[in-house]
Amino acid sequence: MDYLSRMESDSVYVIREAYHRYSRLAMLWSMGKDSTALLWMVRKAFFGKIPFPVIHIDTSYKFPEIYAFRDRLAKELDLDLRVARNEEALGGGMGPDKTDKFSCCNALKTDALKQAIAKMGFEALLLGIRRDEHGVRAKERYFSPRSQDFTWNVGSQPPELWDLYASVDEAAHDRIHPLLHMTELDIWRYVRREGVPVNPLYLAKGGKRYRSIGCAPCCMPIASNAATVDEIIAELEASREPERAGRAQDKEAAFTMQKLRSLGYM
Amino acid sequence: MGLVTRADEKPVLRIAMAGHVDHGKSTLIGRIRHELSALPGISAVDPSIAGNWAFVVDQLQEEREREMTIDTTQTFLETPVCRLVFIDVPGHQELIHNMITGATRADAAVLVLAADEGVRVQTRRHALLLSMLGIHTVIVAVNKMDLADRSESAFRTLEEAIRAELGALGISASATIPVVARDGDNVVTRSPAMPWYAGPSVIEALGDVEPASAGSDAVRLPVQDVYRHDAPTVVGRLLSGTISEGDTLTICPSGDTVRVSAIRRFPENHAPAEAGESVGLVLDGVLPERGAVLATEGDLPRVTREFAGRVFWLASEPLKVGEELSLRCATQSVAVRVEEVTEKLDTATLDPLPAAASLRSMELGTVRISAEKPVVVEPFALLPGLGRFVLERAGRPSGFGIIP
Repeated sequence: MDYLSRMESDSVYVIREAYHRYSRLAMLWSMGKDSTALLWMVRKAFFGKIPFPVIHIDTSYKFPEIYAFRDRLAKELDLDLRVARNEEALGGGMGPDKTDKFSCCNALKTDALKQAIAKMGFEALLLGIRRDEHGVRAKERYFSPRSQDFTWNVGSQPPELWDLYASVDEAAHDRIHPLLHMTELDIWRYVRREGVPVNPLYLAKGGKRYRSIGCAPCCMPIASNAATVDEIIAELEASREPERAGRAQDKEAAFTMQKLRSLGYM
Repeated sequence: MGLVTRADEKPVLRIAMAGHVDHGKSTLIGRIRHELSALPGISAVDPSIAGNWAFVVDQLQEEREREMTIDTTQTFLETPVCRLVFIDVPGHQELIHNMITGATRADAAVLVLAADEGVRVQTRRHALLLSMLGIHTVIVAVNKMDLADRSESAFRTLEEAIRAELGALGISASATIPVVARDGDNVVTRSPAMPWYAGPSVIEALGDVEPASAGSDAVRLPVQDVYRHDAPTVVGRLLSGTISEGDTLTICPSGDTVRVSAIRRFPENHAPAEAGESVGLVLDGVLPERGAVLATEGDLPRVTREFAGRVFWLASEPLKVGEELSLRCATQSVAVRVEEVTEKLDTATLDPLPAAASLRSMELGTVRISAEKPVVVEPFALLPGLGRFVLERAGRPSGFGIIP
């Protein structure tokens, strides 16, 4: 079996373990390449129809292309899409220019997610994070328990032996990360092989493209002429820049990612 | 590492870095990462941490402040010929569960040994765990050779000592390499400062590792779930063998026979399923439940209510004879009772321990287990997926074992 098929099979195995275990399961979809690849695998795991809700944590600051992509795919794939926003914070004018990036991410993403979980009563969420995105994400487990106040105690995670994921835990909710073992290049090669839909923001226009997408004010494009998936793969095979170089929240201060994640950031 | 290999044909090698605390596991990964960043496609190491190579993997605030790895990490490098996944693990004894979490994902290991300290408790314990986990490809890096004046005689003494330790565990190191991880001696390129050493660098030695070949070709498919959204479909990941439409399979432990009427995938594709694939099957006959194992008719795995395993205990509260636990093996989850503990070993010294009716944290022993209902197992060496298990106490992984 080629390596992409093996990776997909291992991800599907994790997805099916999660579906077996939790009756109230959902997945987070940011419309980026990783969570769209995850959506693709979830669809394959259940033979075409995703049997649980797909949640978009909407900060309201996303690129217009992201909303358009979301609405098009939600319709084409017949998704049970739920959009979650921290309306109270947004009503109070929360935004990246009002405060520091850390507080904005925490309010509009983490708190919005907390509210959505409480309101919709989910026990577990599938997320498309990968170990090679960031040194702190590299420490994640496939099944990651979170406490009531959402914290991730990275220093005392339970053991995870082979693919025998712990059967019970006292966690308030669990995060499941089926794509942990894939790299950025793996995702693009998978996207190419499977024909996974690609958000146009990733494709170069006028000498620029986004390598990582999120909120419009906090993502910077990279200089690139890669206008097709093949060209993106060729570019990454030669690149020496890290993936999240254009993400503002990673740069603000040392250990920001760890602090965000320990508070429940995705 | 000369010719370029097509991305989807590149072998993947997952390497655990093992060894005693502060012997330089994280530093070695960081230095490898730094040196290989000369290759295209590998991002440069953040210049602010140059020299402090362990920070490449030790990215938690606590880890940097204490200069010690706390949790296991994976770092990915794709070279023109292969894909390397380095699994860093903590060397501190209190963090052994994180070490094992990392090591269970590895195909091979680099055992790091500091020249100034030699074989220490975790060197030995990690080597024992590698042997137990079936990781028989081990490269020894004798690190901090600068503290032994890069001398050949110091290296030979350590080489002999570690080879004897590993030999007692049935491991034959594929290379023993004098290294200064901090300065890059014999990490990627041969060190001119140790001209007496004629063997491979760490990366060269890893390049010689052969990927593990598949063992048995009998069908073994642990049933993960049965979906009834439409046509009832059995799903699972095939551990070994090949399944084609029309095949007859036996459900273990029940012994019922079923015929594969269709292989299901999305989008539809009826090609035979191969080992490693997560697949769906539509069956004619009795539907199995989660935990059952589909097997080749006439070539069945062992079905038993009693077996013995070599168990390494993790939880602080000891395992006791008579205790009831939950056993997880492939997709099986079964209530079991501990009948007997024998052949106990002190994993710090590898000395036998006196017989006792319990197994304490970080002790290894042979545990005879009886199960509430029949379980499907295989010897670990024949089929790892059915030969390894986790013992859970109140749902928490508390120990793990392999079936000899």
